[in-house]
Amino acid sequence: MVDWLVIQFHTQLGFSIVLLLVVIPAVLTGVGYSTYFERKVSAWLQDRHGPNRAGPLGLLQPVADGVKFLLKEDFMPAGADRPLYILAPMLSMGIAMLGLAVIPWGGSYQPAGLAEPLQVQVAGLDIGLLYLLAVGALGVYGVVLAGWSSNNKYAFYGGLRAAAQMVSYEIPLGLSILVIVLASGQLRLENIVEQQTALWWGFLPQWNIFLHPVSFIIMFTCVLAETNRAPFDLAECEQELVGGFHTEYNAMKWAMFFLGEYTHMIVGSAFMVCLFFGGWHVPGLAAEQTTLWGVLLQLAVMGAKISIFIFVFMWIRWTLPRFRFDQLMRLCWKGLLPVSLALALVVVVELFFNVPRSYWSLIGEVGVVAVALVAVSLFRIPVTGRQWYLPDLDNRTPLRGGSV
Amino acid sequence: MVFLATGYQMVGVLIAITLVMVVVMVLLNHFLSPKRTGAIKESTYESGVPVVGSARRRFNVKFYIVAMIFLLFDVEVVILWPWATLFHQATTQPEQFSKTAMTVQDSPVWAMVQQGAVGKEFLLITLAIFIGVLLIGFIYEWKRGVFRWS
Repeated sequence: MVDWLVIQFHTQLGFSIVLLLVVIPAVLTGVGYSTYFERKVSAWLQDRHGPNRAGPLGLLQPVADGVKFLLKEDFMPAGADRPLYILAPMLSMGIAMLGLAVIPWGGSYQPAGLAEPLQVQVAGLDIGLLYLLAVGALGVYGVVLAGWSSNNKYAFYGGLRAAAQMVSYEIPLGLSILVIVLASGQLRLENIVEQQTALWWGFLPQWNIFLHPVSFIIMFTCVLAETNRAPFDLAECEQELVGGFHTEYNAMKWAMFFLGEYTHMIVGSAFMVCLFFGGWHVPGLAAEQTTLWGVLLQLAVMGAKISIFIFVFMWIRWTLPRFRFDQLMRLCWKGLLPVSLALALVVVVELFFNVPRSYWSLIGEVGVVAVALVAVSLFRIPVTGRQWYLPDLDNRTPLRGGSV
Repeated sequence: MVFLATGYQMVGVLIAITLVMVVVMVLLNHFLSPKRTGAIKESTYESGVPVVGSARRRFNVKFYIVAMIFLLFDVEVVILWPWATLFHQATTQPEQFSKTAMTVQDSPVWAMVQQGAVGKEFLLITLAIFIGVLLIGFIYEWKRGVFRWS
């Protein structure tokens, strides 16, 4: 028994290390090409060409950027707090990478002659979801330290805004995930994915998105805010704060904030894919594939789903205008937080009365939204839009001296 | 059990690799790059005009209040997740749940299990008290205008 355990232990450990050595370069390459893709998508949406000089179609652009960042002069503003100034970008990127550990990338792999299948996952923690939430909450440190240590007013305000924003959106994020935790009863991401692999009526995969669409929308909004992406990029909005928290950064340290943001995006997308879109589950297949080719197919499907999310992030950036800071905080505390709490309580009640997990979940979600809309309109609760305590649009003092 | 141990080791390995990676990135940049710095180059950027004072000054207290409220709500979420797994088990597999509850023999829960007091009703009441207290605080904060930023 002990021998068997030792063999088993070393097998999964060795496999995890190999996987880690594959995942880190793969994700870093993905991050590099996300920057390229971001510029290309921006160009397409604005009817431009985008980068097209370095290599065919500009495909070597990330490599050129990397070399440039390494060779650029590395200096610090004189007033900066030197240790924290150096620590901030390292934290920002390092903490973003930590989330990669618990993502189930491709189900499990069953090699011939092995008793137990190997998990295609770096670390199968019992508390995978809690680990991801904890690592996500740590992400705020890099930004705050960068803003404070630069001793620059733009950076300071950017860091403050980022702190308030990331901290606030952490709560609806946790509450919308609570819906999935309640419904599935699991804190292990791989088990949550496994529960979604069955089919309804032989063709429709049982992904959580079909049962909990509102929770997904809330979670997606929160991930946008957590990663400081538009329309929530108040921490670095050019028109108000120059570069925000990274105004005083240059060369590789600046690039590390950038890499950290994109890594955060990839981890966040993988998180959403696992919770709501079946993770590595191939649509149309009812069972998990444990052969080598099956696992590779599942890895490809996982990658494709993550890529779609990354594209949607970029698409949103060029579609929606940026929020104002008071609107941002109002949306979180007065809009998303009560609604996500109510969604969780509905699932609690459904569980208590043993309502089967079927279309009733969907009805519950839609019902909460309907009640919220009715309450907002009946009691005139100021959630979004113009506030009641501001003067009426018709009664403003007209501008003098100009031509109307 | 076995895989759990593997898991935390791998988190350690990942932290080590990440640490080495970020340090190497910063050091490479430091050694490869030119050094041609000066007083003007190192001055703080303030849209080109001479710098007025320091950036380390007092700021709006609302940021501080938001951070404090976040602590309360985040602790709430962190408590609710394990609670949610237990509640799921208590409602869908009551027999399994009573077995789980019996594994914590050293705690007051064990006595309550023996009296048959721990079940889904017990869990629901604890949640109601917990969320109720939190909601009262939330409504108070809302009424006091903590979330009003304009």
